[in-house]
Amino acid sequence: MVLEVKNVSYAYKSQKEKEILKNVSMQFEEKKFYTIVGASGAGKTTFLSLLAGLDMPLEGTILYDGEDIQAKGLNYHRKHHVSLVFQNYNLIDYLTTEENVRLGGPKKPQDLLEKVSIPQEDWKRNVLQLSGGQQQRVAIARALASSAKVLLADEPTGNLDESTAEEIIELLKRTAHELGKCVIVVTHSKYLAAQADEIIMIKDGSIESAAEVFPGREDVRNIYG
Amino acid sequence: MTFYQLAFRYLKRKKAKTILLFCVLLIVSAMILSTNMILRATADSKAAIGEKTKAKVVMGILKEDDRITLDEVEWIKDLEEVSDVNCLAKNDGFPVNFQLITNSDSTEESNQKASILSYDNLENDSGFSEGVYRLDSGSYIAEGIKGVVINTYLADANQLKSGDMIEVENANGKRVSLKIVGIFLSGNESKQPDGMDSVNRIENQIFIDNLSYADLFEGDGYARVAVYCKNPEQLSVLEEKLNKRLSEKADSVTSDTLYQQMALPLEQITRAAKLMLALTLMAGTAIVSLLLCMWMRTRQREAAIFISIGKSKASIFLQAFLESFLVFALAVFGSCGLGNFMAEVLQGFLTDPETTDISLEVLLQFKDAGILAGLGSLLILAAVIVSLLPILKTNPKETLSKMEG
Repeated sequence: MVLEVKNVSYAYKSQKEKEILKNVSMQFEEKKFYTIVGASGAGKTTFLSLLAGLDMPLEGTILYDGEDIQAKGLNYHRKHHVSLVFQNYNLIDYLTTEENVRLGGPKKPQDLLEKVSIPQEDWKRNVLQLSGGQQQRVAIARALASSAKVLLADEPTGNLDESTAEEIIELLKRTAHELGKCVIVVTHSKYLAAQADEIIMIKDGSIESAAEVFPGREDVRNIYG
Repeated sequence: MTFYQLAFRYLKRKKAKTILLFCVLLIVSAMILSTNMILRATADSKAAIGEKTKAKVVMGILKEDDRITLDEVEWIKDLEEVSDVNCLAKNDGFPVNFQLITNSDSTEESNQKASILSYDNLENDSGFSEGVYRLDSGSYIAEGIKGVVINTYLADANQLKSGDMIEVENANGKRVSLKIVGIFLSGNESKQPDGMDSVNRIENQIFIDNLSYADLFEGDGYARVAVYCKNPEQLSVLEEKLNKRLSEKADSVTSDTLYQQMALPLEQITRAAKLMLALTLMAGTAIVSLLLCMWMRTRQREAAIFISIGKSKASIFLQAFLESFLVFALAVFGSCGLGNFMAEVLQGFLTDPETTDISLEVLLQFKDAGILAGLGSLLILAAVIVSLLPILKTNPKETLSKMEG
C-alpha cells in the first residue's frame, strides 16, 4: 500500500458546518489504476487535492508509505511522492514541450516524450502549438518525469474528443500496469471509470447505488461525502 | 529547471511584456538618475560654497588678562568640525631701531608705543579681509611667511622696505627682530586727528606672525580665535562645543551669512529634487506594481502549477524578482548611457545664465549609478512583493479549481 487515507474529513473554511468529506478511509496500491466518480460537488476534486497535498484535511491523516505526508511537509510530498495531471493540461505557456517535461523531474524528457508518442519535431516547439490531445500527453510525460509512485489526474479526458480520450486512458492504464505506478483518476466519464482496476464512488448522501451505475462490477467502493 | 533558467526563458519568450517593462523602468531609472545627479551636484556645489565662504565661529575674550591659551587652541584644532584656525593677539610694543609716526606732542606712554597685532593668516579676519587696508607690496603673513607687515607711511618715514629688519620690544625690554615681508596702506591715514596718540594711529599698527608674538610677549595667549568650520551646516554644533569649553572666558560670534545667501537657491533645488525623487519612487513603484499585477493573472496559474509540482514559494518569488531585476539592470545601463546627455540638458536647464546665477556642475558619476541601482532594486522588490504576495498566499487548489472552471 503506497497511499492510505485515514478517517479524513474536510470542509471549506467559509462553510465549516457543511462537510464535503466525512470520515473517509481508503488505501491505494502501486500498479493499480483507480478511478473516482461521483456527482458534481460531491468532493472528488477535493479528495484528489488532499491526496496531492494541495490542501489539508480538517481531521484525519494521509499516509504515504506509512508516513504522514505532513511530517516532511506538503511541498516535499508534492515534489517527491505524487505527480499531477489536470483537465486543462496546465502546461507552462512560455516553455517548449521538452522544457515542460523537464519541469516535472530529473528523468530524460526525450525518453518520456517518445513513450507518450509525441513526434520529435514537436519537442522544441512551444507547447501551446500542440493539439489538445498532445498537450495532455505532454502533461502526462511531465507527471512521469518525477520519480513519484502516485499519479493523480483530475478529469484528464474532459477536454478531449473520444478517440484522443481513448488514447489517454490507454496511456494511464499502461502507466499503472507497465510502469508500476499507482494511478488515481477523478472523472465524470462512466466509460473511463469502467476501465479502472478499482472504482471509488463519492456520494453526497444520495440514494444512487454504485452497483446500478456499474452493473457487474463488484469492486466499486463507496465513500459517503 | 531552476528559477533563473525559468526567469531567462520567460524574459526571452514574453518579448512584448519584457519590452514594455523595460520602457517603463528606463523612464523611471532615467528620472531617478536625473534627480540623483541634481542632488549630488547641489551637494558638491554647497560643499564648494562652504569652503569658499569660510563659515566660522569667532571666539573673543571677555577679559584682557584671561586669554585663550595655546592648549585651548590645540584642543580647538583637534575638533572634527574644524578645518582651520586663525589666532589673533594684540599688545603694545616699543620701537627699537625706527621712529613711530606721531602728530602729537604728548609725552604719555601711549604716544611712545605701537600697536602690535599678530595673526596666523593676515589676509583673513583682519582689516585686510574687510577692505579697510590693502597690501601695497610684499606678502601677507601666513603659514610659511613669518615676519612683519608695516604701514607705507611708517616705512617711508624710516626709509624701510621689504626685506629690511626692524626691532620691537615689550614693556620689560624683551626684543625681537622682524623681517619686513609686506607694506600696507589704508587710505585713511591723512584723515586721522593730529592729537591722536601713536598707539592708536593706523601708521603705527604693526602686524606680525604669532611665533614672533609668542616670543616677544612670552606666549600670553590670544585675544581672538577665528575657528573655520569644514561644513557650514555644522556651524551651530561647533559653536556649541566651543561655548561648552570657553564660555567663561570668551564670547562667540558666528559668521555664515554669505554661505546662507549663496546656498539658499541650491537648498531650494535640493528640496525640489528630493520631492521629485520621492514622487518618482512612489509613482515608479505604483506603475511597476500595477503592470506586474496585471500580468499576474497568468502568473497566478503558473504559480499554482509550480506549487502543484513541488516548487517552493521562495523559488517562485526569486524567479519573479529576477525577471524584473534583470529588466531593471538593462534599464540602468540604458539610463546610464543616456546619463551624459541628460546631464547636459539638466545643466543647461538649471544654470541658464539668463534666469539664474547658480553655478552647478551636473555630471554622471559612478556613485549616481550606484544610488540608482540601490533605490531601483528596492523599488523592484516592493513591486514584486505587492504583486506576488496575494498569489503566494492563495491556496493553489483554489487557483487551479478556478482555472479548471
